[in-house]
Amino acid sequence: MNNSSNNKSHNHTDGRVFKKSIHLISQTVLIGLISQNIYHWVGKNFLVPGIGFLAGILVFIGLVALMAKPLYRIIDNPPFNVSNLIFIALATALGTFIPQQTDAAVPGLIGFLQLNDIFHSWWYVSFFALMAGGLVKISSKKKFNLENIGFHLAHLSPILVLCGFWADHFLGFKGIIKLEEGQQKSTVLLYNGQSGEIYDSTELGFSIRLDHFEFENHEPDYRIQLWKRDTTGRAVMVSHGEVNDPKPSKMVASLPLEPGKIHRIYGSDMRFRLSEFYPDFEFEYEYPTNIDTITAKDPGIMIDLKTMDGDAFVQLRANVAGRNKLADMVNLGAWLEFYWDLPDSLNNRLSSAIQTGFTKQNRIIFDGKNQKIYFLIHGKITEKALKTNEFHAMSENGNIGFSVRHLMPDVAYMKATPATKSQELKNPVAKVEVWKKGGSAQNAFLYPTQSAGKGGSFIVPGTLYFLAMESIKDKETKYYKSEVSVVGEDGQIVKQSPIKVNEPMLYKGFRFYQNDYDPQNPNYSGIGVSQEPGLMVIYMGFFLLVAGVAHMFYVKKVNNHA
Amino acid sequence: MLESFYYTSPLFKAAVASYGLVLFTYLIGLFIQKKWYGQLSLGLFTAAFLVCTILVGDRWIEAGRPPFKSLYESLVFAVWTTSLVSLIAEWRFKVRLIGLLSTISIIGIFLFSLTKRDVEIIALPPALQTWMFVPHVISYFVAYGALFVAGLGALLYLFFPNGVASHHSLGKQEKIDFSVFTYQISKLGFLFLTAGLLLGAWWGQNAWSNYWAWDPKENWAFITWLIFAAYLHFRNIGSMSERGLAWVVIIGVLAIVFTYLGMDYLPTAGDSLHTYSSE
Ligand code: HEM
Repeated sequence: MNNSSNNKSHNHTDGRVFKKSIHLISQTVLIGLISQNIYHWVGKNFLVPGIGFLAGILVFIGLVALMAKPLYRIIDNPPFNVSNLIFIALATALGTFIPQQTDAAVPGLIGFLQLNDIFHSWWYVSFFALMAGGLVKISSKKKFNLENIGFHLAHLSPILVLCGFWADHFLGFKGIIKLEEGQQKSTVLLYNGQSGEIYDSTELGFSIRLDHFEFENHEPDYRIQLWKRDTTGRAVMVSHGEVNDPKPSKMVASLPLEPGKIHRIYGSDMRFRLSEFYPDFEFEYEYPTNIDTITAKDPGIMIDLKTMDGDAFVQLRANVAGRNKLADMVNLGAWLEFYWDLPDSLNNRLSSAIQTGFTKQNRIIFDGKNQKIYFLIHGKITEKALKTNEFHAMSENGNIGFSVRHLMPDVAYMKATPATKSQELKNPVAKVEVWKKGGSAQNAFLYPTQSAGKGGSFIVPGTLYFLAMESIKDKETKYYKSEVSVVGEDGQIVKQSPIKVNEPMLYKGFRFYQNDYDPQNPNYSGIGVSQEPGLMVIYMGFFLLVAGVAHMFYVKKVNNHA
Repeated sequence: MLESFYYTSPLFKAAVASYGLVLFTYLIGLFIQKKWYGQLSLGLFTAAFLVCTILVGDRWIEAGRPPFKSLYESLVFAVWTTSLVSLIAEWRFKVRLIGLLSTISIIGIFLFSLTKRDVEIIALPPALQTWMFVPHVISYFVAYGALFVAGLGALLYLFFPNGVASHHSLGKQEKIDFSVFTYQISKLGFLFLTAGLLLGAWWGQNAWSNYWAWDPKENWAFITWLIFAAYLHFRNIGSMSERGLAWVVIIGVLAIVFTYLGMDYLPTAGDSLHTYSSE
């Protein structure tokens, strides 16, 4: 469209305008810098509230007024504004390379240039002031008609956004109320949005009470995971995928619990499959019923205990030193002792009706061969037949006691089969088969990392891989929620509402957010409070900006070089 | 990477294979400038796009949430939007070179995604459990896809400043001016970029009580937006050379890549809320 000579002269003038623009923008930025330092200096030395700000603003306006004429002439010039956009881009980039607000007041050049807080510095804001001025002028110069509506919307809406932004900054606040369940507070701690530093507080005129707080993790999702060790590392795996070994293992596959499905391990002949998943694992024990026919080679007894701490079972072995007694005073209040053949001395004493030679210790003595139980309680001997699955109460209310599950002349005949007690995910265990192609399979039991330490993982022989079973999901927070009441000055509840992330509560122009929680303290909730008078103006600006740009691009197309 | 590929889903493998086939067809197409052949490559590209659509949809269902949480998921979605815009561009501007360059890039994205593959699908944190997450991410990725394709156009402009003859089957032989192409696609991208930025601020206000926190990722999104706004104005002023304009778009695309992937390298990234979870 442009012929070349036209283009050239165009370039020439534009070149001058660009140069002039860069000059004027730089000067404005310098003025911003000087004014802010005056603001800080006056504020520090003359302790009158607001005087520093006033001084800074006056200096800013005064100095900018000195260059008002050239500035006004150029401010709606496209090259001026494009230069300004580029300046803003560069300054913003600078603020991502220099750590921001590491300290409230940084001495030296960085502090003087406000490089530690670029985004709130006056020189940075000056760019936007120039932009706003340019937008107003360019828009006012263009005819207002339906054809140009997109142009006006796109160029006036950024002003709305800027005004909203500044309104929030000067008239609003951001803060937090830290509450424990049941507590109520009307004071908001104000903090700096960027550094998170609390610098002041304000009163709401009403109180917020935390009625209830809850948070929940995601449901567990147990999976078979294949991990690969680093060649030099140890097999270390911590749940949650966090590995504290310097040469961490890496999870390479995570498989859903699909029994029977065969998986090949990459780059090896090894295969594996899940053969069974037990949500609430336990061994099921079976012993032959005709125990009279079994020779007493390695006798044992299996006893179920009912205690204040829950159910448990023990296995005592008559011929294994140290395993024939359970000195359990805490739970049952008596020792458990198991003999297949009672030692003569003990037998003699038990058979004499009067108790002699015993300590004061309460004892329960199991006699395997004669299938008897002797209770030596408070100096009295009681004899009972040893029968399986018969409950013997050790407390009056029957909360404590025991029953014999199996009497075994030889523990070798005991058969233990893996089983699940229930379908609840209480004690998940996975049984996997691992084999080399063409070879026979090996069983492995996998279980998740317990709170105390290592989980049951299985190193695949001859490889760098190991198998594990973990749930990662249930370590992630699903939601957290505060139930709050707004309490008026007269103590009346005026509003009740839950507050969740993404679901703030509105009351009297204040917004209440679910901002903070503490996994260590389930009663604590941090309620973010803000007053943002510019918010709706900003949202309006957003909407109009997109609408304006869309109109400019696709409804009334602006002139371009096509 | 091969091991990582081995453990991917059959759908992922199918998607990579389809795009590989598309790339192959476009490469051969450099030598066959027949109408039917052009239709064939565009058809195959469309088919690969459908496989990618199923891949994204399948992940959405399996995860039970929008598949935009991890870097890996977002890379796959970037493939989807880049394909979408490329297909539209090829259909609208009848230029097959874009299809070729897009598929090369898409294969590159797939290979990169293998190094970032999340072995296990992760759950959404509370801030992301909202419908606002979806339009924000979709806007941004459509914008990124479009501006990336515009960047390819700018690159082609630098190589073919006088344009190339279109060999596309769907239209008559006409000349493609890559400068115009870049401008048209950039407009689409800029519109979605603006929408994505503003939707993000709106959502941020709801989730974190802050529409703008001067977070590095936010700042770089703003810088990217400024670069493309400058490009549109530069083009309007008419004082910058076409080559210069092409370079502005390329710089803009580099800013996108940095915004998307480079945040971890910034000294200020430490307390950013906007980081992708990977591995
Ligand atoms: C003070 C700064 C600005 C000035 C002086 C300015 C000026 C202009 C001018 C003169 C045009 C050409 C309009 C036409 O030919 O009909 C234009 C186009 C445009 N402006 Fe601005 N503008 C400014 C800032 C912005 C901002 C912040 C945006 C952000 C959305 C923006 C978006 C646009 C768009 C999208 C176009 C259309 C470009 C095209 O289609 O090539 N402008 N602007």
